[in-house]
Amino acid sequence: MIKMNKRGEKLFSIWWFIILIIIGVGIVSGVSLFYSYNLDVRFLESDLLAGKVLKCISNPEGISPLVLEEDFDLYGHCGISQSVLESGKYFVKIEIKDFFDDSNLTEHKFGNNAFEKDCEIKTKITAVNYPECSRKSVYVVNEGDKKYLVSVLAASNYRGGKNSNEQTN
Amino acid sequence: MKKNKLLKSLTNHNLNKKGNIPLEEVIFVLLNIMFFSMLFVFVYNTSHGVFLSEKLYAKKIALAIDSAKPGTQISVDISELYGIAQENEFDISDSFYFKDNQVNVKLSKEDGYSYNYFTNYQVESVISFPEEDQAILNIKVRPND
Repeated sequence: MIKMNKRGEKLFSIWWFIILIIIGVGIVSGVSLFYSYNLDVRFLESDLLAGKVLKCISNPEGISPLVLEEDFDLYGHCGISQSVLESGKYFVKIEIKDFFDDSNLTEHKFGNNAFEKDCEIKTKITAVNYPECSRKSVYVVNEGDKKYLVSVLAASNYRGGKNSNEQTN
Repeated sequence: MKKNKLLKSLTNHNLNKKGNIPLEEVIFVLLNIMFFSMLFVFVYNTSHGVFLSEKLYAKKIALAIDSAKPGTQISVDISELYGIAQENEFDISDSFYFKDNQVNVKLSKEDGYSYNYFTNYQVESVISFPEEDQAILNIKVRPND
Protein backbone atom coordinates (compact mmCIF):
# COMPACT_ATOMS: atom_id res chain seq x y z
CA MET A 1 0.00 0.00 0.00
CA ILE A 2 1.80 3.08 -1.15
CA LYS A 3 -0.03 6.34 -1.27
CA MET A 4 1.59 9.15 -3.16
CA ASN A 5 0.88 12.82 -3.01
CA LYS A 6 0.86 15.08 -6.04
CA ARG A 7 4.65 15.37 -6.06
CA GLY A 8 5.01 11.61 -6.10
CA GLU A 9 6.49 11.33 -2.62
CA LYS A 10 5.73 8.23 -0.59
CA LEU A 11 3.58 8.81 2.48
CA PHE A 12 2.24 5.44 3.58
CA SER A 13 4.98 2.96 2.86
CA ILE A 14 4.57 -0.70 3.61
CA TRP A 15 8.32 -0.96 4.16
CA TRP A 16 8.19 1.49 7.03
CA PHE A 17 5.65 -0.69 8.83
CA ILE A 18 7.73 -3.80 8.17
CA ILE A 19 10.74 -2.07 9.74
CA LEU A 20 8.61 -1.06 12.72
CA ILE A 21 7.44 -4.65 13.15
CA ILE A 22 11.02 -5.94 13.02
CA ILE A 23 12.10 -3.36 15.62
CA GLY A 24 9.11 -4.26 17.79
CA VAL A 25 9.77 -7.99 17.61
CA GLY A 26 13.44 -7.41 18.41
CA ILE A 27 12.70 -5.29 21.48
CA VAL A 28 9.99 -7.64 22.79
CA SER A 29 12.21 -10.72 22.30
CA GLY A 30 15.22 -9.06 23.91
CA VAL A 31 13.31 -7.88 26.96
CA SER A 32 11.54 -11.24 27.41
CA LEU A 33 14.78 -13.20 27.07
CA PHE A 34 16.58 -10.92 29.50
CA TYR A 35 14.03 -11.23 32.27
CA SER A 36 13.39 -14.97 31.78
CA TYR A 37 17.11 -15.84 31.82
CA ASN A 38 17.70 -14.36 35.23
CA LEU A 39 14.87 -16.40 36.71
CA ASP A 40 16.05 -19.80 35.52
CA VAL A 41 16.58 -21.69 38.75
CA ARG A 42 16.70 -25.21 37.34
CA PHE A 43 20.36 -25.71 38.18
CA LEU A 44 19.85 -24.54 41.77
CA GLU A 45 16.92 -26.90 42.06
CA SER A 46 18.80 -29.91 40.68
CA ASP A 47 21.71 -29.09 42.98
CA LEU A 48 19.41 -28.94 46.01
CA LEU A 49 17.78 -32.22 45.01
CA ALA A 50 21.12 -34.00 44.57
CA GLY A 51 22.37 -32.65 47.91
CA LYS A 52 19.20 -33.63 49.72
CA VAL A 53 19.24 -37.19 48.36
CA LEU A 54 22.94 -37.61 49.12
CA LYS A 55 22.52 -36.39 52.72
CA CYS A 56 19.56 -38.70 53.12
CA ILE A 57 21.29 -41.91 51.97
CA SER A 58 24.73 -41.28 53.43
CA ASN A 59 26.11 -39.80 56.61
CA PRO A 60 29.43 -39.92 58.54
CA GLU A 61 28.45 -43.30 60.04
CA GLY A 62 27.92 -44.92 56.66
CA ILE A 63 25.19 -45.42 54.10
CA SER A 64 21.60 -46.24 54.85
CA PRO A 65 21.18 -50.05 54.57
CA LEU A 66 17.81 -49.55 52.83
CA VAL A 67 19.50 -47.99 49.80
CA LEU A 68 21.33 -51.25 49.08
CA GLU A 69 18.03 -53.07 48.65
CA GLU A 70 16.38 -53.35 45.26
CA ASP A 71 13.04 -51.85 46.31
CA PHE A 72 14.48 -48.75 47.92
CA ASP A 73 11.72 -46.17 48.52
CA LEU A 74 13.29 -42.73 47.98
CA TYR A 75 10.02 -40.92 48.62
CA GLY A 76 9.26 -42.38 52.01
CA HIS A 77 12.85 -42.51 53.22
CA CYS A 78 13.97 -39.04 52.13
CA GLY A 79 10.75 -37.03 52.34
CA ILE A 80 10.54 -36.29 48.61
CA SER A 81 7.22 -35.91 46.86
CA GLN A 82 6.49 -38.77 44.47
CA SER A 83 3.93 -36.76 42.47
CA VAL A 84 6.45 -33.98 41.86
CA LEU A 85 9.40 -36.22 40.99
CA GLU A 86 7.32 -38.32 38.62
CA SER A 87 5.75 -35.33 36.88
CA GLY A 88 8.22 -35.80 34.03
CA LYS A 89 10.28 -32.75 34.95
CA TYR A 90 12.79 -34.30 37.36
CA PHE A 91 15.19 -37.21 37.49
CA VAL A 92 17.28 -38.78 40.24
CA LYS A 93 19.82 -41.56 39.85
CA ILE A 94 21.62 -43.15 42.78
CA GLU A 95 24.69 -45.31 42.18
CA ILE A 96 26.54 -47.23 44.84
CA LYS A 97 29.89 -48.62 43.73
CA ASP A 98 32.63 -50.48 45.48
CA PHE A 99 35.35 -47.92 46.02
CA PHE A 100 38.30 -50.13 45.03
CA ASP A 101 37.16 -52.17 42.04
CA ASP A 102 34.50 -49.67 40.83
CA SER A 103 31.94 -52.46 40.46
CA ASN A 104 28.34 -51.34 40.49
CA LEU A 105 26.66 -52.65 43.65
CA THR A 106 23.28 -51.04 43.21
CA GLU A 107 21.58 -48.43 41.08
CA HIS A 108 18.22 -46.68 41.48
CA LYS A 109 16.47 -44.35 39.07
CA PHE A 110 13.44 -42.17 39.74
CA GLY A 111 11.54 -39.73 37.57
CA ASN A 112 12.05 -39.10 33.86
CA ASN A 113 14.73 -41.59 32.74
CA ALA A 114 15.25 -39.75 29.44
CA PHE A 115 17.06 -37.02 31.37
CA GLU A 116 20.00 -39.33 32.03
CA LYS A 117 21.01 -39.21 28.38
CA ASP A 118 20.20 -35.51 28.19
CA CYS A 119 22.59 -34.81 31.06
CA GLU A 120 25.34 -36.67 29.23
CA ILE A 121 24.71 -34.61 26.10
CA LYS A 122 24.74 -31.39 28.12
CA THR A 123 28.32 -32.04 29.22
CA LYS A 124 29.34 -31.73 25.58
CA ILE A 125 27.10 -29.02 24.13
CA THR A 126 25.07 -26.01 25.26
CA ALA A 127 21.36 -26.81 25.10
CA VAL A 128 18.95 -24.36 26.68
CA ASN A 129 15.88 -26.59 26.56
CA TYR A 130 17.63 -29.61 28.01
CA PRO A 131 17.40 -30.19 31.77
CA GLU A 132 19.94 -28.73 34.16
CA CYS A 133 21.89 -31.46 35.94
CA SER A 134 23.90 -31.75 39.11
CA ARG A 135 26.24 -34.60 40.06
CA LYS A 136 27.46 -35.20 43.57
CA SER A 137 29.67 -38.00 44.84
CA VAL A 138 30.87 -38.94 48.25
CA TYR A 139 33.16 -41.57 49.64
CA VAL A 140 31.58 -43.48 52.52
CA VAL A 141 33.09 -45.91 54.99
CA ASN A 142 30.43 -48.29 56.20
CA GLU A 143 30.25 -50.79 59.05
CA GLY A 144 32.85 -53.51 58.75
CA ASP A 145 35.18 -51.05 57.09
CA LYS A 146 33.45 -51.43 53.70
CA LYS A 147 34.16 -48.51 51.43
CA TYR A 148 31.65 -47.23 48.93
CA LEU A 149 31.47 -44.51 46.34
CA VAL A 150 27.99 -43.00 46.43
CA SER A 151 27.01 -40.90 43.41
CA VAL A 152 23.81 -38.99 42.88
CA LEU A 153 22.75 -37.44 39.60
CA ALA A 154 19.76 -35.07 39.75
CA ALA A 155 18.14 -33.22 36.87
CA SER A 156 15.45 -30.57 36.68
CA ASN A 157 13.66 -29.19 33.65
CA TYR A 158 10.83 -27.56 35.55
CA ARG A 159 10.01 -23.92 34.74
CA GLY A 160 6.82 -23.31 36.72
CA GLY A 161 3.84 -21.59 35.21
CA LYS A 162 0.66 -19.63 35.61
CA ASN A 163 -1.58 -21.11 38.22
CA SER A 164 -4.52 -23.04 36.89
CA ASN A 165 -5.74 -24.36 40.24
CA GLU A 166 -8.41 -22.68 42.29
CA GLN A 167 -7.38 -21.41 45.65
CA THR A 168 -8.80 -23.22 48.64
CA ASN A 169 -8.55 -21.95 52.20
CA MET B 1 3.90 33.01 1.68
CA LYS B 2 6.91 33.69 3.88
CA LYS B 3 5.23 31.89 6.75
CA ASN B 4 4.54 28.88 4.53
CA LYS B 5 8.14 28.78 3.34
CA LEU B 6 9.40 28.96 6.93
CA LEU B 7 7.12 26.14 8.03
CA LYS B 8 8.17 24.09 5.03
CA SER B 9 11.83 24.48 5.79
CA LEU B 10 11.37 23.59 9.45
CA THR B 11 9.11 20.61 9.00
CA ASN B 12 9.99 19.59 5.50
CA HIS B 13 6.32 18.90 4.95
CA ASN B 14 4.43 19.54 1.83
CA LEU B 15 1.74 21.93 2.75
CA ASN B 16 -1.45 22.25 0.80
CA LYS B 17 -2.72 25.50 -0.52
CA LYS B 18 -4.18 26.49 2.85
CA GLY B 19 -0.85 25.82 4.62
CA ASN B 20 -2.13 22.83 6.64
CA ILE B 21 -0.26 19.58 7.13
CA PRO B 22 -1.98 16.80 5.15
CA LEU B 23 -4.16 14.40 7.12
CA GLU B 24 -2.17 11.38 5.93
CA GLU B 25 1.00 12.64 7.56
CA VAL B 26 -0.79 13.30 10.83
CA ILE B 27 -2.18 9.76 10.85
CA PHE B 28 1.26 8.41 10.00
CA VAL B 29 2.89 10.24 12.92
CA LEU B 30 0.09 9.20 15.28
CA LEU B 31 0.49 5.55 14.29
CA ASN B 32 4.21 5.76 15.00
CA ILE B 33 3.59 7.36 18.39
CA MET B 34 1.04 4.67 19.23
CA PHE B 35 3.44 1.89 18.26
CA PHE B 36 6.35 3.20 20.31
CA SER B 37 4.05 3.94 23.25
CA MET B 38 2.88 0.32 23.20
CA LEU B 39 6.49 -0.85 23.16
CA PHE B 40 7.35 1.41 26.07
CA VAL B 41 4.35 0.19 28.09
CA PHE B 42 5.34 -3.43 27.39
CA VAL B 43 8.94 -2.89 28.55
CA TYR B 44 7.79 -1.03 31.68
CA ASN B 45 5.21 -3.67 32.59
CA THR B 46 7.69 -6.48 32.04
CA SER B 47 10.26 -4.92 34.33
CA HIS B 48 7.91 -3.67 37.06
CA GLY B 49 4.92 -5.84 36.56
CA VAL B 50 2.92 -8.21 38.62
CA PHE B 51 3.94 -11.30 36.65
CA LEU B 52 7.67 -10.88 37.17
CA SER B 53 7.27 -10.32 40.92
CA GLU B 54 4.97 -13.34 41.24
CA LYS B 55 7.46 -15.51 39.34
CA LEU B 56 10.45 -14.28 41.34
CA TYR B 57 8.93 -14.80 44.76
CA ALA B 58 7.27 -18.14 43.91
CA LYS B 59 10.67 -19.55 42.90
CA LYS B 60 12.44 -17.96 45.88
CA ILE B 61 9.98 -19.46 48.35
CA ALA B 62 9.96 -22.89 46.66
CA LEU B 63 13.77 -23.08 46.75
CA ALA B 64 13.80 -21.98 50.39
CA ILE B 65 11.36 -24.76 51.29
CA ASP B 66 13.40 -27.31 49.33
CA SER B 67 16.57 -26.42 51.19
CA ALA B 68 14.90 -26.39 54.63
CA LYS B 69 14.94 -29.20 57.14
CA PRO B 70 11.84 -30.07 59.18
CA GLY B 71 11.36 -27.59 62.01
CA THR B 72 12.83 -24.69 60.06
CA GLN B 73 11.13 -21.30 60.09
CA ILE B 74 11.69 -19.11 57.03
CA SER B 75 10.99 -15.37 56.97
CA VAL B 76 10.69 -13.59 53.64
CA ASP B 77 10.39 -9.82 53.31
CA ILE B 78 7.41 -9.27 51.01
CA SER B 79 7.04 -5.50 51.44
CA GLU B 80 7.53 -5.04 47.69
CA LEU B 81 4.70 -7.49 46.98
CA TYR B 82 2.53 -5.78 49.59
CA GLY B 83 2.86 -2.52 47.66
CA ILE B 84 1.99 -4.20 44.34
CA ALA B 85 -1.04 -5.98 45.87
CA GLN B 86 -2.29 -2.70 47.31
CA GLU B 87 -1.99 -1.03 43.88
CA ASN B 88 -4.07 -3.85 42.40
CA GLU B 89 -6.59 -3.63 45.27
CA PHE B 90 -5.82 -7.23 46.24
CA ASP B 91 -5.67 -8.51 49.81
CA ILE B 92 -2.11 -9.63 50.59
CA SER B 93 -3.36 -12.33 52.96
CA ASP B 94 -4.82 -14.13 49.91
CA SER B 95 -1.57 -13.85 47.98
CA PHE B 96 0.17 -17.02 49.12
CA TYR B 97 -1.08 -20.55 49.40
CA PHE B 98 0.61 -23.90 49.57
CA LYS B 99 -1.14 -26.97 48.23
CA ASP B 100 -0.07 -30.28 46.67
CA ASN B 101 3.64 -29.41 46.90
CA GLN B 102 3.05 -26.18 45.06
CA VAL B 103 3.51 -22.59 46.16
CA ASN B 104 1.27 -20.07 44.47
CA VAL B 105 1.84 -16.31 44.52
CA LYS B 106 -0.98 -14.04 43.43
CA LEU B 107 -0.90 -10.25 43.47
CA SER B 108 -3.99 -9.43 41.47
CA LYS B 109 -7.26 -11.00 40.47
CA GLU B 110 -5.46 -12.86 37.67
CA ASP B 111 -4.28 -16.47 38.03
CA GLY B 112 -0.95 -15.93 39.78
CA TYR B 113 2.21 -17.98 39.38
CA SER B 114 2.95 -21.41 40.85
CA TYR B 115 6.10 -23.37 41.39
CA ASN B 116 6.61 -26.89 42.75
CA TYR B 117 8.78 -27.79 45.69
CA PHE B 118 9.93 -31.42 45.84
CA THR B 119 10.14 -31.84 49.61
CA ASN B 120 7.19 -33.66 51.07
CA TYR B 121 6.85 -31.63 54.24
CA GLN B 122 3.88 -29.76 55.64
CA VAL B 123 4.09 -26.03 55.11
CA GLU B 124 2.28 -23.38 57.14
CA SER B 125 2.46 -19.69 56.49
CA VAL B 126 1.37 -16.46 58.14
CA ILE B 127 1.92 -12.83 57.17
CA SER B 128 2.93 -10.26 59.77
CA PHE B 129 3.10 -6.48 59.47
CA PRO B 130 5.83 -5.24 61.87
CA GLU B 131 5.67 -1.68 60.53
CA GLU B 132 3.53 0.34 58.16
CA ASP B 133 4.15 -0.69 54.53
CA GLN B 134 6.30 -3.58 55.72
CA ALA B 135 5.16 -7.18 55.42
CA ILE B 136 6.94 -10.42 56.36
CA LEU B 137 5.89 -13.89 55.23
CA ASN B 138 6.70 -16.47 57.93
CA ILE B 139 6.82 -20.07 56.72
CA LYS B 140 7.07 -23.10 59.02
CA VAL B 141 8.25 -26.40 57.56
CA ARG B 142 7.08 -29.43 59.52
CA PRO B 143 7.54 -33.13 58.86
CA ASN B 144 4.55 -35.04 57.57
CA ASP B 145 2.59 -36.86 60.27
